[in-house]
Amino acid sequence: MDHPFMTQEIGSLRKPEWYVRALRDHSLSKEAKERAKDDLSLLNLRMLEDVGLDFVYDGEARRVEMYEYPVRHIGGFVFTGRVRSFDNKYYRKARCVGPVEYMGNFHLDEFRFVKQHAKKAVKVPVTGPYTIVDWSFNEHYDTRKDFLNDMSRKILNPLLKDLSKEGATVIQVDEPAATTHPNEMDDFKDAFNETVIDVGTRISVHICYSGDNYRTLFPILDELKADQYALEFANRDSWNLGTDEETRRGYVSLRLYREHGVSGIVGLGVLDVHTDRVETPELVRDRILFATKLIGDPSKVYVNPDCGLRTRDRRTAFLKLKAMVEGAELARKALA
Amino acid sequence: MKAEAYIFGIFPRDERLIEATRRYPQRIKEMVTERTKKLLRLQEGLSYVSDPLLGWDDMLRPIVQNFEGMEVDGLNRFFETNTFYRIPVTVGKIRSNGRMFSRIMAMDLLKETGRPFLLELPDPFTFASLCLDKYYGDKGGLIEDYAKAMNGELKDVKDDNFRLLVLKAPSIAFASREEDLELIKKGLRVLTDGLNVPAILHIYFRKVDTALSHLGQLPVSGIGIDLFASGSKVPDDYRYECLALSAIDARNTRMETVSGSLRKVKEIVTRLNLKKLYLTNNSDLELLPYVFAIRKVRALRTMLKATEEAM
Repeated sequence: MDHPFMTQEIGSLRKPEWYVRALRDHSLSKEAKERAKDDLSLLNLRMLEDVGLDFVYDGEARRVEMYEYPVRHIGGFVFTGRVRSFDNKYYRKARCVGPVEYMGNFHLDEFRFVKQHAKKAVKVPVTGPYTIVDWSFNEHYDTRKDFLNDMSRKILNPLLKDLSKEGATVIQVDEPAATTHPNEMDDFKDAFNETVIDVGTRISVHICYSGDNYRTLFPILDELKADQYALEFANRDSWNLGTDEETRRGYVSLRLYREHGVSGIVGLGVLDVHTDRVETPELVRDRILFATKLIGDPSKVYVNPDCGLRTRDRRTAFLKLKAMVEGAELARKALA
Repeated sequence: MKAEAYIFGIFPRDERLIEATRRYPQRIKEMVTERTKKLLRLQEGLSYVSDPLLGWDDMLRPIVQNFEGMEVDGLNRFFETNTFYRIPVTVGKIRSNGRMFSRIMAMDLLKETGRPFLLELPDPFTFASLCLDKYYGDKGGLIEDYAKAMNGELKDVKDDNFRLLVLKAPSIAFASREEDLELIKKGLRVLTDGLNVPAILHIYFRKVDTALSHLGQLPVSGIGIDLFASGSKVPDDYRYECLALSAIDARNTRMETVSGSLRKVKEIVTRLNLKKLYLTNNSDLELLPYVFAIRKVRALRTMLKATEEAM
């Protein structure tokens, strides 16, 4: 049953050394590698359950990365090389050289495994159409809008419907690129709504690192057919305790929630995933309490890290999530 | 009218250099030198050579690290791309110590080519727009000090083969406020004061025809216009003696054709009275995978040759 400040992860966890070595080991059979994937999936699931989250998944154990994994399973793409993200960090970027083609549900086996073993509610993360299009080179479609339409209607919508039929009850559509082009917000909105149409599950959308404190996003947020918006805030906030505006400056943009008449649940980012420094439960509590004041309704606040925790080592990820769960409990007590 | 060609901006690192940067940092200097030489050879057939800036992690950092009064902070999105830069922060009055270009660019290798070369910088408005200011309190002061420092650095480059200055100005494409237009002009006036090389101001990522008409005549020889930005065109009232036309798109792997490039050139030439037309990339080629950046530079060489023959 729902209680205020339900806790959830966003997606990825770092893959352990033994797992990476196993997948690269040419002497291991395909079956042995599949067992390694099952093992890590189960390990992540238990870790997230043990820490006390209300919603769990498998830390995206079977996915190389949030862009490369889906694109490898969609027809019409060719990978051509790496492009810089920042510093010396690169990602593999694909060219769309033909019409995109649905070649089967690339999350289904993974979801079935999680569903079979999970003891908590399951939330499936799926990379959204706008992000796949924005992070790809388009050599085939005349316009980005055509590319987006096909990606939503031919790929993501059938995939989400499949997951729903298979028993998924909560799906999180990851759209980190959503606010990259402020003049395309309507295109993003249309693509998102096409993606989730008639899916029949609860839908969350995760958007991070907007660059403008979500000023571009909030005006269209309520038009998205989503029940929840999981957003990042902690990386822009101070580490001091307190619930005043200056101390909680990372969350001030939540004023826009009421200004724009938004009604959905906010998945509140309370953990900075780009630092090893572990938040205290008290800091998490204060972030939640301040945000709740701006949103005006505790039932509209869920709690999560800013983004996937694959950026941190597994121990740090565990400690951060533990602080988050404890912080949510402190916030509940403070409001009781 | 004369046609020339060049590339500017950060060139992508190849796979081995990416890996080596992670695993063998002690070998990086040697590898960067070797690859820089290779990429300078790739530019044979173009009118100017430029440093591929292989050691640069973003378009600001080496400059910032060579200024007094500046630090670097966290990551921020680089315009409308999926690439991020570290935010420069002003913590004191910014000053340069002279000979900056020798420290941040492969000046020796550029000189060794014996060919005309270009140097490149962010324009003052773009530099200030991407900074977090904790010292000046007004953008104008920061712009002026940056422009003065860079003007001094450019005047210190005493080499007859330094023939062109490229000013990278994506922020101008996003500027619309009246006070911004004044700051853009002021920064360019200070930066180009007394320089005896032509300066080309590359404005990219967005269409700029409207911004250009509001800006009036700027103290540069020409504008680089990103014709791949949606809705972009060269305005009819373009009055500069030079124009840099984006012949290759650094934001898409789709290959441009020689015939397409010639069509663009013909359209411009019949409409404008230019002294010089440069064929260039629209923005940093590092937005492409390495193999495609190489292909596009080769295509640019072919386009220049075809343009010269057609003219």
